Amino acid sequence: MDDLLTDFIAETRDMMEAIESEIIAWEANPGDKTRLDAIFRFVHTVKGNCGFFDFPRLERLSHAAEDALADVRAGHRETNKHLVSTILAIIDCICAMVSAIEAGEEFPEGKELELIAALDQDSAGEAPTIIAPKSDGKPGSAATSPRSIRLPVDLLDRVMSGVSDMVLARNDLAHRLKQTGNQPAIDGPFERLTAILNDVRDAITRMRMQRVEQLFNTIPRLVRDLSQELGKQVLLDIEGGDVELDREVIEVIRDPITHIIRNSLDHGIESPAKRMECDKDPVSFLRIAARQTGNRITIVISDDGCGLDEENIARKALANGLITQKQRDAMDSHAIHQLVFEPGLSTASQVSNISGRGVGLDVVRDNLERVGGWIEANSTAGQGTSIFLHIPLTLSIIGGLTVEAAGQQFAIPQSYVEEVDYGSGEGLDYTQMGNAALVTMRGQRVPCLSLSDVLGLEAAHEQQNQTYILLRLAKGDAFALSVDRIHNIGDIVVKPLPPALLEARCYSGIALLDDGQPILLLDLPQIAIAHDLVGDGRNRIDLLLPQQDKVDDVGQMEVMLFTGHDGKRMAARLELIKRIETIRPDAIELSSSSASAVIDGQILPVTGLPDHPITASKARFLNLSDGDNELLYAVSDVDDALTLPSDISRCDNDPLIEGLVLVEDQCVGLLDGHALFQAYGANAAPKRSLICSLPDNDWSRNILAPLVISAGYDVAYESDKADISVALDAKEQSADATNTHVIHLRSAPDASVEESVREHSIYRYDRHGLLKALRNAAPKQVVGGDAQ
Amino acid sequence: MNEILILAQIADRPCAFRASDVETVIEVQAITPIPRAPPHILGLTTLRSQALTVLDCRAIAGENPEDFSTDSRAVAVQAGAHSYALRVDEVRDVAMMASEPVQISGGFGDIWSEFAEGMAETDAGPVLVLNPAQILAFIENMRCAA
Repeated sequence: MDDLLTDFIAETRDMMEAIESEIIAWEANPGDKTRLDAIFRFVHTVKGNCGFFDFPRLERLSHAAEDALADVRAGHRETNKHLVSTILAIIDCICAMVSAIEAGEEFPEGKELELIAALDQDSAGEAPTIIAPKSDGKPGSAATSPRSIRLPVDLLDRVMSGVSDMVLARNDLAHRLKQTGNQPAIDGPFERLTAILNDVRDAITRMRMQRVEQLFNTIPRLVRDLSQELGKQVLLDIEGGDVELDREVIEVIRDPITHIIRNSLDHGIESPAKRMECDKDPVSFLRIAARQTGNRITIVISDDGCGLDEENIARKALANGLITQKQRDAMDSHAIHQLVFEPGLSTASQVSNISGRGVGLDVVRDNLERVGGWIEANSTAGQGTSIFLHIPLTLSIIGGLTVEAAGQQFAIPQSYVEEVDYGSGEGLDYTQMGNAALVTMRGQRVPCLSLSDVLGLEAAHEQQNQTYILLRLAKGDAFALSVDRIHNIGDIVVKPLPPALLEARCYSGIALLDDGQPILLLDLPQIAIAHDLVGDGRNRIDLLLPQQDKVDDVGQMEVMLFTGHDGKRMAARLELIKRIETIRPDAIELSSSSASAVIDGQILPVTGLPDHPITASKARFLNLSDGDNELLYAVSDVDDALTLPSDISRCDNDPLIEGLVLVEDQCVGLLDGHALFQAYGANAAPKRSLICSLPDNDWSRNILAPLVISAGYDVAYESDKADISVALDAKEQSADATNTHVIHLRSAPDASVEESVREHSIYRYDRHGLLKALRNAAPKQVVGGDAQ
Repeated sequence: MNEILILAQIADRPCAFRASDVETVIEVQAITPIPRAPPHILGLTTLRSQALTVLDCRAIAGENPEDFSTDSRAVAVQAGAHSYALRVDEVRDVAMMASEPVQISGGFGDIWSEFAEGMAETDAGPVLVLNPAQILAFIENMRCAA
């Protein structure tokens, strides 16, 4: 809320500065209608914002000023010197009140009432004056409010392009440094420069971009307050908050959206009783959605209210002289609906303090046009109204894939990408059907386009060396795109496409690579449309695939197929698998009853090992996790991930098998995660950690302790109550006669001590031996105790 | 009057741009081609961290660019949020405009008239003063007509 308040204060100040000259001009010429409109909008906006923040006194004051000005606009009231001075005093007073709000002070009672009373007097008495208390020094002395400043966008742009140039200069320098070879004296600072530059670039980008969520966050409260005030029931649905917009644009559309919501609740949505009469659900539905489509962002605000009253709008527009009867006759209903955005047109028969003065929507349109956008209304009588705000993208950051076709790079928005597969992989089946191509990915047969063909270029690789990207469009149509290779995945900064390039119908924007080279962002929906892949055309053939009968969202599970060391094919639920580890077989520790291996300094239990030692140079393991604990399951080969119907035939033969599933007409055992963790788990992170006592010196505190902790122990120093203890260079090994296990370390390396010493103590930097000793030293009953 | 012109040669014809219309003259390094783009769009290049669309003035004027040699210089102009580099045969010099651009009897020809302001005198002889905004409008019209 503090953020919003800061925004409100800053915004009011800005507006105040902007209308300063208007006020003076209006004073000089009270008949000037444009000046009057500008001042009117100011008080209107202040009034609207106050309602949101709950500043009743400020709201009352601005509402009174708005009333008076509305009368003048409508021609019901003459402007005279008295009115002008009173309005000016009110604006000063608003300024003073805002300052008081900012400073967190109480504004003196009564001043605003005096002014409101003065507005009602027709007599040309002496207008009251309020001199805004001059802020003494720092206005933002309230220490609690977060510091914020407003900057001209030009300056931000300059900083942004400056940073981009710096990145390019850095890249150039990097290139030159590489040519001259390693120079440690320069490389270090250069690395630092790179890191700093990346940070700065990140911050700068964030300076400009903001999620529209920030804007949407204020809506639920607004809707709640308004609907209570109006006695209407509204269900609010907000979508697309993660769309990122230029901060400048967010500022510009903040008011429009508020205005439109006010209008919609006030005029669009009917009272519950009236809705019942019309056979509608008494609870109305207000939906606000942001969507990024190609070069622009569209924000739709739609309600299921009574819709725009075409006749009424036309009549008002005629009466106000906005259109002539002839024009009226030539207009279709869509054109008439757009009239609501003309100044001075309000169809509301009742003026409330929520909306309905015909000021909101023309401000909305002006605001949008200032950033190059436009607004549109779509309405069906009795069914509702949708207002579309179209905002051009000045700049956006999206997750993207950089791909290569015919030696040239292109970007693909990551949101479309479902899966990536290599032509050489087994999971992929490529068929040429006439001139069309189909691939099967994840059991789904989809049409396949070659990016080189789409762009009329020569592909660099044969079909089997291509990389296939499975794409899904917003409407659900899927297709695959084959590219020569994939370069990179990451955030890309997208700039709008110049209009001249729209003609190519393949691109939706321009992105700059790190080396400053421009690349094109592919417009996938457009490409799909151009190749007839959208709608009920060819993509529906995936329904014809026999095994696809059961492709529903229900009754499916994803599994990883693998071959165990006993040669049997097995499956494990994909959710269970954290990752696949490949380690050297000699890293596996075999003790009499169990096996374990060290991964990232963690001792993990191992199961699924063959009876004989593994001879291959690398051993593969599935790293299974139940969320807290991990264990390794040894496999001889990892096949593929696939989706199966979750029909499992139970089977009791093997306690570690949950049941049997059918994969390609073969029975495959499905690993039972529960049984596995019951039998083998819990070693990794026992709930009560064992305490290991260490010698109290710098070496053990700084060097030994972290290793012991990472092996799962709590550390104590010179403690008697420890479960095990570690001694360094102990003179007499047998002297320690307590019950605890003792691990003896020595400073001398293995090579320089005798065999007998070597057997009883471990060289202190023998990490492997130390971890092994730590694991073996743990009293078994305590370690296993938690799981059994 | 007293305005500075940037003299360029386009398809062997002496032309000029008002210096106030031009951002800068750039040395076009690498051009990223744009597949499926019309022939007068050569591709994208960068000026510092800004992407520029490279247009070939010779192709826009209906000539075959391959008939004319080119130095790698181009005239960078800005239109709204977008920047363009206009590829010409060569950028020659800078000169003062000695007379306001005038029309000549018989005109400059259909295409050239679309974006020529008129003929102006300079120390280096008469030049055809071109308006970048009209060049962009011209290709925009071509696009819409297509």
